[in-house]
Amino acid sequence: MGRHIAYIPQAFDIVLINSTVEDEISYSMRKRSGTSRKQLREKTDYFLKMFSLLEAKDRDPLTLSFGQRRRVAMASALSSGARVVMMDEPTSGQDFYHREILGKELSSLRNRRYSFVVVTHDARFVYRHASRMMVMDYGKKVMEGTPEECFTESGKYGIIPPSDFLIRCG
Amino acid sequence: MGLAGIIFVNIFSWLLISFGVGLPLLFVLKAIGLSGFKEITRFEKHESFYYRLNPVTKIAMSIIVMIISAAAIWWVGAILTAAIALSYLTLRDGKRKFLLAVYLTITIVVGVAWGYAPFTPPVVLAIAPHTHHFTTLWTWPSYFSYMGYVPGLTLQSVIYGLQISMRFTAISLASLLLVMRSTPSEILRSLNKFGVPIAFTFSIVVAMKTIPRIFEAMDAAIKIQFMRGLGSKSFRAFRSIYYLIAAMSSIVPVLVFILRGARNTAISADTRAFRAYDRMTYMKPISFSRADYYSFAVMLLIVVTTGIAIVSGFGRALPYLS
Repeated sequence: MGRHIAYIPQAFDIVLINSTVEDEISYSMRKRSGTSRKQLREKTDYFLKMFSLLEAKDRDPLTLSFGQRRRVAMASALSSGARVVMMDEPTSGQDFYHREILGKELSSLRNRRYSFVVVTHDARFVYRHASRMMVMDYGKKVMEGTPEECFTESGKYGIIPPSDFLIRCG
Repeated sequence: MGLAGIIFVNIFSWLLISFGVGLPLLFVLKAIGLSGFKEITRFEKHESFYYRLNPVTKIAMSIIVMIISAAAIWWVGAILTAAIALSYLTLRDGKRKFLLAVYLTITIVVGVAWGYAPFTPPVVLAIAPHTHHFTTLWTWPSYFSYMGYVPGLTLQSVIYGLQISMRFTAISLASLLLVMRSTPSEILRSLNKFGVPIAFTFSIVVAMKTIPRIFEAMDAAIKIQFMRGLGSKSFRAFRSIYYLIAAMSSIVPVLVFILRGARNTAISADTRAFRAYDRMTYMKPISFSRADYYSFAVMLLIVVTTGIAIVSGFGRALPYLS
């Protein structure tokens, strides 16, 4: 399953176990068979470029800035070959600016045929960046659909729609 | 003894050591797991008898168990261990907690017994009544004495080790029981009532909150490494070794994660005026006293005198004239 699905925890720092960004990104490829040395280098470079980490490739991931560390965690998750990435509360403790950056990163990766399953309480983030949403209540599915559809009906379940949605609906 | 005998003795001796060190570790990793440790080191809300007790009573119970286990004969500790383990059934998700308690007890018994048995000399064992004849189970190679091993492992030393372990099991289970049925806030307030200094209590509460988080983070970090392909090239039989490797690799990032959290805790504590005593950050009303008025009068006098001196031609001294 690990080949197809990657997981980035809320505290993504705990994923960063290698001493350089380059090693961190190539970790999965090194641990799994079937990747030649040349492919390893090419793929690592590809992900370094994709996440704008080329300049930081020799640095210790734990010494990078918050945004860079998150990008390293995402790059190492995707480099495992996974096309589906599960993220736990990726927006927690972040301001609007950083949430927008994350949302744009995810949207850009979605265009490259990656899928993200995001667990979050941030309705605004979901409304602005998700293509589909599912509302869970104590482990049970309550609603499923596009954010527009769900937030239109969400009042029934006591869920307050985000301000963006309310403004748009007038 | 022939060469084959010497080789056998050496290999078997090292295997015995590995058993003593490895079995508790294997039990911890396999049977309990880090997620199990997380469960038995954190509070979960429930409504049974234990949860309704006053926190002071809960703390007193744990202290009494500690004193009795440390002072009484081994079988008292064993009875207490059994009683406390059974009381785990009354906790939330009791059956699982009881099972975890049993695994933990086995781990402690093997670990402590093996920690004591090879190092306890016959002189110590001879203090016990009716123990003058020793049954040697195994004789270590002579160089084991450099590691502090007594030359012969006796049945009596193993029994002694098992007896000693009963103290540790009762104390460990009682401490975990206290943690599982009390919120950190309850502990904080109760210890304050006893007059324990706030700094000390605060450290305990932070530890109570942090320990389950460490286990949780370690557990996630290890699982993610396996998801990322660790050990995928080797046989499943070596999984335990890779588990250890993953645990070792996780130490630094988990430590960094916890320390970053500690910084936030420190900031939160500061903003809530933690330890804001007179000597530290206490807000004193600042008012003007008579001494201040005198000081201002002197300062004003100096300014006026300087002004008069400048006007009278004593402004710039000669060396500064161009």
